[in-house]
Amino acid sequence: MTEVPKIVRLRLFAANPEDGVGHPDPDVLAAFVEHSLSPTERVDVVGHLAACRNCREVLMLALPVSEREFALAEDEIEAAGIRQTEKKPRNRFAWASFSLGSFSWGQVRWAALAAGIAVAALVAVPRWERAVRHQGQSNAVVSERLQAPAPPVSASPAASGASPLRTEASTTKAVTPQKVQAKAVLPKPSMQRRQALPSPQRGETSWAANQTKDFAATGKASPGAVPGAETVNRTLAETPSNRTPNEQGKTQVTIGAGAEISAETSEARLSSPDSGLLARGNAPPVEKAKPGPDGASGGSVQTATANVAAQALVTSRAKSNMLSARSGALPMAVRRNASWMISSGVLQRSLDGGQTWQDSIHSDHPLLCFATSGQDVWAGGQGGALLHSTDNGTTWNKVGAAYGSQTLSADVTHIEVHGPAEITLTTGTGEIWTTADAGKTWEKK
Amino acid sequence: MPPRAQSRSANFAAGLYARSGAAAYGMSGEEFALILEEIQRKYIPRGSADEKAEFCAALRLEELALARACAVGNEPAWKDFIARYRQKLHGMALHITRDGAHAAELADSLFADLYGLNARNGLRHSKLVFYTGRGSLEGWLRTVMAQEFVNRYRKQKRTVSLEEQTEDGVQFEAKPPAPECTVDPRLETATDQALDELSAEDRFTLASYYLDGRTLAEIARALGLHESSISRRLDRLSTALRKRILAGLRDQGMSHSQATEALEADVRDMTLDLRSRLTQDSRATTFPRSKIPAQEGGSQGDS
Repeated sequence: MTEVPKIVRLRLFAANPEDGVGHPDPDVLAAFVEHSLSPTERVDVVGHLAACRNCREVLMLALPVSEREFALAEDEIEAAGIRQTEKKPRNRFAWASFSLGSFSWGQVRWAALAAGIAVAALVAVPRWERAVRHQGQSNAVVSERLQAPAPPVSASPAASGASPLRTEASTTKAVTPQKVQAKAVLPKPSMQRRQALPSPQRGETSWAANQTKDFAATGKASPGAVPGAETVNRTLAETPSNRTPNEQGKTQVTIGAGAEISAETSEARLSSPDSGLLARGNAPPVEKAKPGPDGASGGSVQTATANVAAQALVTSRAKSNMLSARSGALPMAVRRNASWMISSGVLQRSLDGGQTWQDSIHSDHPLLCFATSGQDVWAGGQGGALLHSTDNGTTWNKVGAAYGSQTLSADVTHIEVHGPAEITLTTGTGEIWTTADAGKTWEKK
Repeated sequence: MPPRAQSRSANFAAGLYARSGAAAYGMSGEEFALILEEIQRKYIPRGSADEKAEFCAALRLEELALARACAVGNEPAWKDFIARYRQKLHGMALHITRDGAHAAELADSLFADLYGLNARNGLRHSKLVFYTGRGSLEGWLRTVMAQEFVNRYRKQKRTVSLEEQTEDGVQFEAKPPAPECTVDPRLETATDQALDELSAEDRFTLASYYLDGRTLAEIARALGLHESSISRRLDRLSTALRKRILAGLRDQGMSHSQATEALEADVRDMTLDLRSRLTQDSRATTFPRSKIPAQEGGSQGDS
């Protein structure tokens, strides 16, 4: 890259005082990072940032951190021999990102290609041989499969009617199939919208991350008022291996056992703040609080809030351990489902229960909300951006919504999925757009 | 306001209130409307009704309701806040400080500010009252934490312990005066003019790369662009600046060869420790174990 003349650096430095004036407040900086400022405001903020070192420093530190960077930071700290007070559960692929960091991109790409060819060869050759060998015995193989013992999971009629291959897959993948059939405590999960709310804790199983919200949800009048209830439903995606479509065509989320456990656990925690799970030796700041804000009722408020604060300090590992003890390997099964979240306007997907996240789609405009129904994923964003995937986010189509001479151009802030092809969009300006044919035609209200 | 418009405005406000979920935290519609009015006054004081409506619709209403409910000490709101953000605060702190112990200290300190432990005149004062929903609450928390970290780092940097320095064996002797930099004032003028003609984004890119030592990836993330775009932009800017400075020097009466020599000579003749001048406010490291000595010579802003 061509370097600028040294005089340019000197003059840039001279134009960058340490203590400038007119700093944007944290709200505006955060909005800038998330690309949600108006064009005029953005120009003003960039103009200030160009001349203010302090704000540039803050901006860079405030950029959202990717999972890989976080894992590298943890490794860096551990390598320095500094003991952390709270340990985040390690990303099981962190070793890969740490190791890969020492090689160049070119080497990594070639190595990945070679590995892929080797794996494909290992898989393809035996299959071809088996196909040739079994060419004359295909009928017998199908009979064998049909007579295979029914897996424990197949209590529901939908599952028992599944294809033999799916049954096999369920048998091999569902580690604790009994738990999968547990009765759901939460309201009937419907494919409701999920806005760009704070994402589940990375590194935790999605429903484990939201269990405290579950507790909050059960105490409230309507799940719609508390994002937690929806989020729990939303963060467990359905894969062919454990999907049990119900009569309404909606996918039943198999989180029953988890939800029960989380509700019980949250209650237990609140009632016994001294439980072993909380004995982390790390008193939450809330416990140091002076008499609570309610004054007269400060004592009980303080205790309750302190308990909640103490509860929040339980690491995801403790949660996972406890939940594993109660539910066997249910968290393992959950982690294999796809989870979704929006981070800084980008829709991300996790196939391992939130431990690692990958960008699923980059849109021209920042994405603000999404909703899923089985393999269908809808994502909406600024400027009428609307994307649809029918294969759980592997491929995407851009959808242009139009009604008569009007086209969708306002920010899509809310998506509700009522069925496989029926969705409702709400925009930031209060418009409501509906389709009954998966986006081919639209109506605007 | 005509009755029809009033009714539409009331419906819209009710819709925003419903979307925010503020009712779950015991906040009434009127209270929430007052909050929105306050935010409108701050950011679009002279906007039309439609502009204000559009502005409010784009806010993070649920997070705004949560933050403001927490600011007044609503317990269910705090339960939700702790569940969602307590651990994230530690993660953010860890990323910022790169040090487990300091991360805990930073996160706990911020949490105390958010909770409103620092009462003023007997009144609870929570930082959450400043959240206006322009960006996500998580992003706001990250920014506030980053600002707190930068402020702490700057405060520490200015503190010098003579005892520690003596123990470290630092010899307190007068340093030789810094050599004078013979930069042609016409070169400075031409350079300033060339920089002024650049867009704010270009100047931000240059400052981030050459002054702050940021990587292409970091700059790209900040601007929402691809890394290769930043690389191409820097290349383009380097070429354009050279041309513009040379043109500026010629406009000030220099010949082409004189202008070229002035630009090149500047690079050769400058014997200053450029690194110390240009990276004076270098990227904040974690709380250093030993005090960083105060810098001399052109250290703007350092007392």
